[in-house]
Amino acid sequence: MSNPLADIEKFLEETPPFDLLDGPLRRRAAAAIEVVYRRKGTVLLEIGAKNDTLYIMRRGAVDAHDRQGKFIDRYGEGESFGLQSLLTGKPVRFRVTMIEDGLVWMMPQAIFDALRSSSAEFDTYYVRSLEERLTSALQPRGSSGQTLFMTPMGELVRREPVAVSPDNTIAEAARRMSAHGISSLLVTDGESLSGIVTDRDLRNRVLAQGLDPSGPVSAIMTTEPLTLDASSPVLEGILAMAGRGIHHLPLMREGRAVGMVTTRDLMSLQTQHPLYLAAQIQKATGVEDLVATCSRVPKLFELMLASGMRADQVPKVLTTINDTVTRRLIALAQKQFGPAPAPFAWMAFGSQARQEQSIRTDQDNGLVFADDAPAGAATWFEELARFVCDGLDACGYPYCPGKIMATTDDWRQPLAGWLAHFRRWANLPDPEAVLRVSIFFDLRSVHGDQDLVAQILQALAESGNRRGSGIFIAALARQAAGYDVPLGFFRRFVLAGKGEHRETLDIKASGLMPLTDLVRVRALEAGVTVPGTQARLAQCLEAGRLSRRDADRLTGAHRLLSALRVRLHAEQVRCGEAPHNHLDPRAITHAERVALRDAFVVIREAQQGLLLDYPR
Amino acid sequence: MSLLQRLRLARARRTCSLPLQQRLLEHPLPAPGARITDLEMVALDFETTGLDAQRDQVIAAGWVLMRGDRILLASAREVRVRHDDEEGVGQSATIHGILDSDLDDAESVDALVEQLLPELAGRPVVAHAAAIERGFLATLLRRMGGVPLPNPFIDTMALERRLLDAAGSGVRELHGDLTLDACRARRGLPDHQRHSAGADAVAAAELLLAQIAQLGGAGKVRLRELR
Repeated sequence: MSNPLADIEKFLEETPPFDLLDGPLRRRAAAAIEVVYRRKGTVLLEIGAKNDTLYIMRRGAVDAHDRQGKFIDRYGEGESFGLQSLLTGKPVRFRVTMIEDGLVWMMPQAIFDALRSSSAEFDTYYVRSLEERLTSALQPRGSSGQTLFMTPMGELVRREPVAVSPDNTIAEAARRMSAHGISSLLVTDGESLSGIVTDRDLRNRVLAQGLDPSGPVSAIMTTEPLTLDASSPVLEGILAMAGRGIHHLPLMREGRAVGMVTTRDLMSLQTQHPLYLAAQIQKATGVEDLVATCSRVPKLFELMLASGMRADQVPKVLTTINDTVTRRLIALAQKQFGPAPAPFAWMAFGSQARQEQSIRTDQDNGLVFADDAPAGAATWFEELARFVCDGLDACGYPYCPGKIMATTDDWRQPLAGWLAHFRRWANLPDPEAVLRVSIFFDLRSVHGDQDLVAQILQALAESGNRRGSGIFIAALARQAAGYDVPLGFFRRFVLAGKGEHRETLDIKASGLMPLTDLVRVRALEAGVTVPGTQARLAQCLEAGRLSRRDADRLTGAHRLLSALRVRLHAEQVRCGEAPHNHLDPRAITHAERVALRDAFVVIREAQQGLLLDYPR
Repeated sequence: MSLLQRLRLARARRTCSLPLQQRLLEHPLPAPGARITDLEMVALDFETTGLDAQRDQVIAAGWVLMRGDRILLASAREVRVRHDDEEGVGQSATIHGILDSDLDDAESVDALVEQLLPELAGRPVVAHAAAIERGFLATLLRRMGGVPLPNPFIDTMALERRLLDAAGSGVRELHGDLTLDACRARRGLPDHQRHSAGADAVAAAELLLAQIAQLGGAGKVRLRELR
C-alpha cells in the first residue's frame, strides 16, 4: 500500500504548527482532514456559535469581522482559524466569511486534542506564550555556534568564476586577468576544470622563458590543481594552502568550479574580524587611516552573520565600532587642537545611544561641557565638533539631515544649557514640538566626563514625572500608538489595518519605530534613563512598571524585528544595494512570517495599552 | 431506487458468480433524484499501462470516500498492482513514473478487487474520464466471474465540458483543456505535486466539489445533474 496523502502531508510539513509533528503524527493529522469547497460569501463561522473544528485554508481566503462588522483579520493559504473557540470552548467571537472561492480543510476537535496530547511541541505551540514563540523563531540559520574558521569557503567567493578554455591564447588569458583585476584564472573545458593560471605562471613560464603569448593557455596552466568543495570550512582551506605552499584554491560544487579563493582572501577574512577591526581603529594615526579601516565595516557586517553571530547581536557590535571611531576621532582632534580647555562629554542620541545601529546610520550626537569653562573654550569645542562630525561622515556615518549634531550650536552647550533644554521640553505645550525632540530622550555618553552626562540623565528622568509633563508624555504616547502596524501577511502582501494590501513591509516604520517609541514612553514614565530598548524593558520590569509577560513579549518582538532587519541589510550589502528597510514577505520563511505576525500583535496590543492610558 | 435500477441490479445478481460481488449487489443504489448532501460517493483513479481495457493492465488504484460535500481523507487508499506473469510496466512508466522496482510492495489484482469492491457498494463512482475506470473495472470483474458495476458513474471531465459549454466557452476546439490539471487550474484549485492514483483520486474529488458548488451546492444539486 502506498501513501495516497503524500501531497497533503507535504503541505502540512510546511505549515506551522503542523511542521512540528513527527512523521507518523503528521500522517495522522492528514488522515483526519475533511476537505470542503466553499464559494465566495459563504459564512464558515458565525458569532455565538459553538465550534468544534479547526479550519485550515488550503486555497482561497477568509475575512473575520466582529459583531459591529469591523474588519479584524484575514487568513490565507496555510493559515488556521477557529482556534480561539476550540481552545477555550467559548462561543465563536468573529464571523468568518469566504472572500473568494476556495478549498478548506477541517480537522475535528477530537483529533486536534489528540495531536496536542501526543506531541509536546505541537501542544506548546498553542499554550506556549507568544513571547516564547517569538524567541524560538530566531534560531540562527544553519548550524549554530559557527566560528570564523568554520565559515564555509564558498562564503568568501564574491564574484562569478572567471574562466578561459584551454585553447584560448595566453595573451587572452592575461587580458582577462587584467580586465577583472585578478591574479588567477580558472581554465575550464566545458563543465570540468582543466587547470588554473596565475600571475606567477605568466611571469615564470611565459616571460622568463620567452614563450610566445599566442600559444594556448593549456601550455602554461597548472593541471589538476588542488581543489576544495565550496562547503569546506575556512580552516580546511588555510591548512591546505599553508601545508602545500599554494596561494590559489579553486572551489568546486557538484563537480563545477564556482570560484577561486586566494591566500589574500583568507588573510583579509581575519582582518575583518570585529576584534581586529576595533584594534585597527584604535591604532589609526589619522582620519584617512580611519576611513580606510571603516571601509571594511560593510564586509564585517556580512561576516558576523556568516560566522554564526546571532543577528540580534549585530547592532550592538556595529554601535561599538561607531563608538570606537568616535573616540578615536576625539583623540585625533585633541592631538591637533591640544587638550580640552574644560571637562566635556560627547553624547550619542537615537539608535547609536540605544546601541541599535544598522549599517549606514546617520549621526545623532551632541556635546556638553562644564559650566565653568574658561572664556574661549567655546571655540575649541566648536573645532572639535567639526573635526569629529566631518570625520564620522567620511567614515560612513553620514551627517544628520536634521542637524542633530555637535556642530549645531544648540546641541553643543554647557551643562546649564542642556538642563534648560530638558526643562523646556518637558513643558512643551505643542505636541509637534515634542516629537521633534523625542530623539534626545535616547541618550548615552560615548566619551568624556561621566558626571556631566549623569546630571543630564537625571534631568531626563525627572522630565517624565514632573508636574506639567502630562502633555509631553501624552504627545509621545499618541505618536507611538499612531503608527499603522500591519495585521500580518496575505499571500505575497502585507496586510494593513484596514484590510488593504502593500507589496513590502517597511520593517522600521511599521515595526521597530512604533516599538522603540512606545518603550521609550514607558521608560520615561518609570524614570528609566538607559537608552537601549531591551535594557529599558528589563528596568521597567524590575521597577514593577511592566508585567513579566509584557516585558518578555516586547523583548521578543524587538529581537525578532532587529534580527530580520540585520539580515535584510546584510543581504542588501551582499548584493551591492544601498541598505533600506523594505522587506519582501516572499523573502522570508513561513515560520518567520508567523513570528512577525505575532510581533505585530504584541506591538498593536501595547499601542492599545498606551491609548487606554493616554486617551485623547 | 428507480425501476430501471431495480431491474439492472436484479439482472446483475443473476449473472454474477463472484461471491464477493454477489453480497455487495444486495446494496440498493442511490436514486437519480437523491441530493448530494445525502449521498456517499467514491472518487476513483486507475493508473493503467494503456487505454485498452482488454489488453492493458491496471498498475495502481487510488480512491477516497466523499460524504455529501466532504472528502474524508481518512478513507484515502492507494494500492499498487503486481502482474507476476507479465512483462514489465513498460512505456507507461514514463507517464506515471512507476518502475518495476517500485512494485515490490504491490499486491495481486485479486487483492485489489477485494479491497476496492466493498468501498463501492451502493455508492456512485467519481472519476475524471470515467470510461477508463469503468472499462477496466468491468474487465477485472468479468475475469473473476463478476459483472460490470451497476453503480452510477460521475465523470468530472464530461461534467466540466457540459459546464463550459453552458457557459459558452467553446471548449470543443480545446480538448487539451479538459485534463484533470487544466480543469483544476481553471477553477483555482492548487497544483497537485505528485501524480499517483491516490493523489489523483483526491484531486478529482476536489474538482467535483468545485463543480457542485458552481451548480448551486450539495444541498440543492441532485445526483442526476452530475451524470
